[in-house]
Amino acid sequence: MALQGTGAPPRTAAPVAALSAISPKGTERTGHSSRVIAYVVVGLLCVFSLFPLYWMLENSLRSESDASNSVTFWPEEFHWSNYSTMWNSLTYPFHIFLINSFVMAGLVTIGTVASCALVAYGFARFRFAGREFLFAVIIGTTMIPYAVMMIPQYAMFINVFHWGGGGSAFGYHNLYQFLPQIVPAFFGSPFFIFLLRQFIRGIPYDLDEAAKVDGAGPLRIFWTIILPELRPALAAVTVLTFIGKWNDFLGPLIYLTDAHNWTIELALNSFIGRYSTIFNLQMAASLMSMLPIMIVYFIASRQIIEGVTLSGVKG
Amino acid sequence: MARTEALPLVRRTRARATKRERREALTFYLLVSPFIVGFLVFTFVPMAGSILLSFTSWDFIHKPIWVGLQNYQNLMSDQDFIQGIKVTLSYAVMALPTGLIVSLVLALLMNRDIPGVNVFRAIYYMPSLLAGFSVAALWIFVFDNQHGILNNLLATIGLPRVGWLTDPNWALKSFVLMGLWGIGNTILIYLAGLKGIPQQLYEAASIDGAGWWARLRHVTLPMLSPTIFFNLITGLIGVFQYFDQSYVMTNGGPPIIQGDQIVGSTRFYMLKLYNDAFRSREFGYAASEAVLLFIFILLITLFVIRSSALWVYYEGNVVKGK
Repeated sequence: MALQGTGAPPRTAAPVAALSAISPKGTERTGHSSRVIAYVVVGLLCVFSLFPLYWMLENSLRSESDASNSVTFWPEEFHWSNYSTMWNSLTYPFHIFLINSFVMAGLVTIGTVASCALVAYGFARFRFAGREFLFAVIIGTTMIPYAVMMIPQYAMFINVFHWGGGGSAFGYHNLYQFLPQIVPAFFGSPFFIFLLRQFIRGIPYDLDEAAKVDGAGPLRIFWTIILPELRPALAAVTVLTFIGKWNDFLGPLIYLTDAHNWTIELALNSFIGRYSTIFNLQMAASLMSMLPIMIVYFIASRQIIEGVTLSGVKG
Repeated sequence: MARTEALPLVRRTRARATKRERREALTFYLLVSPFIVGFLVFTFVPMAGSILLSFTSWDFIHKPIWVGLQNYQNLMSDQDFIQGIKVTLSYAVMALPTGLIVSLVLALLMNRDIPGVNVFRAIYYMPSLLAGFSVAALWIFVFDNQHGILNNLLATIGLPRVGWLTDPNWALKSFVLMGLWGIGNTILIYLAGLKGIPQQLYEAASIDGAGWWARLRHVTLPMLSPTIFFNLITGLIGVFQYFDQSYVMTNGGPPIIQGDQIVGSTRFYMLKLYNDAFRSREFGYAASEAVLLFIFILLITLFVIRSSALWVYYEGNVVKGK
């Protein structure tokens, strides 16, 4: 498609490595003074990225009146109790919301990774009439706005499948409300199918042939040959899907109407509404919702950055 | 062209080959079936449903009533709808170029042999991962009239306070400023594109006596144009669905008076759509808005793709794909 242009698919993980081989370390060689200027500008603007986070952290530890007086950059006194106050200030304690977010994003990730890998394998390795047409459908689907599916999907999930509010299932709370978030993930996400298919096409076909000669079926080839080669790409898809779903707001806002089912983002929404001027607690609550993402980022920043980079190079 | 040629090395008999082909087709369909089913159930049917619903009036409880083009006619005179278009377009016009240019400049600055560039890259990228609701909470505080850091800094140096989110002249610009916090994603993709430009081109240009501006104008920008194109398309698709921040930070406010109507100065299109559907429960009306949004995104994307022939230099991709 037009987004992709032409060009042979690069080998797994090759683009980044291959590209840096073309131009070892950075591209443009420039004079000393311009490098210093670049360094200073980039460094100063880093403050714009980092300072809000620092400010959030230190304000979350201030007293309420201290947080309102923000010309200083250090708390007068550390109020660690803000976190426990915040934790229990909604109808349900915050760990309920964290667990909800975690389970929802986790199941969505499992569904997306499994289905996208298999579908991408199908597109990359098997020939059939209509394959190119279906692939064009995938590319087209990435551009469809959620809004145009939102209302009929809602009608379908609530009226036809009865996954809506009210009633109870699995005990006291209506866990069915999570299904509209989770089930579609098991049918693949077009963008990641596209990305993984590009990756698989870069894996040499000889390996498949050799396995086929040994009598391996398609699933066995997928499991023993494709999957190990695909690991870096799958890591990126895993992390990006998880974070994307963790941050999702509109979907949960529509479906998770039972307060016990709220994700951390929805809880935060309610928190901001209820304690609109109590900034120290607000910052503590927001930090709690960011923390898991930051942890994921510290653990997997390499995979994330590579994944995003590849989406740009291949997209 | 790189198609995965599954060449059967030895074709013994025709019958065997077709059997194999049939089996391959079956495997293909089994593997791809989740996508096909998912596409039909969660994308195609809902899309068709939106189009049908857009010709009805529906409160979700009773049966939809067919009203023909009534919804579309009503939209034409709906001040809020027109405001939604205006706000979304003005945000797009402000935020997209700003984001694309600022991130390009930063990527160019970072694309040098400077120590710690990986650390910078990681720092710039982090906020764009946090682009969720918690970020909105943070920026409500940053923009707060009394307690926010921005106004306190302005007051310290003796400047008047600004109603970042409460002044209709500022609210949308504040969103643009906040958007700049999340450009790390774009920077990263630019950096990948820049790495793909072969060093020889710069050397050749330097030998021809090109200064940094000429090198930027005649080497970097043409070679980077597919990347700029990618960032522009993803940016466009995202910007027309802007919702989360406007929902929590201003809920469409602060209000402005327009003629005899009061409209919200940050009433984004998606916010209007959400409210019509899930607050006013006018699902047919909201569906017609969704259909128009889809058509608009489709047209503008096609327009940009068509225009890319004029300004996107695809030789660059051949080098990258190598």
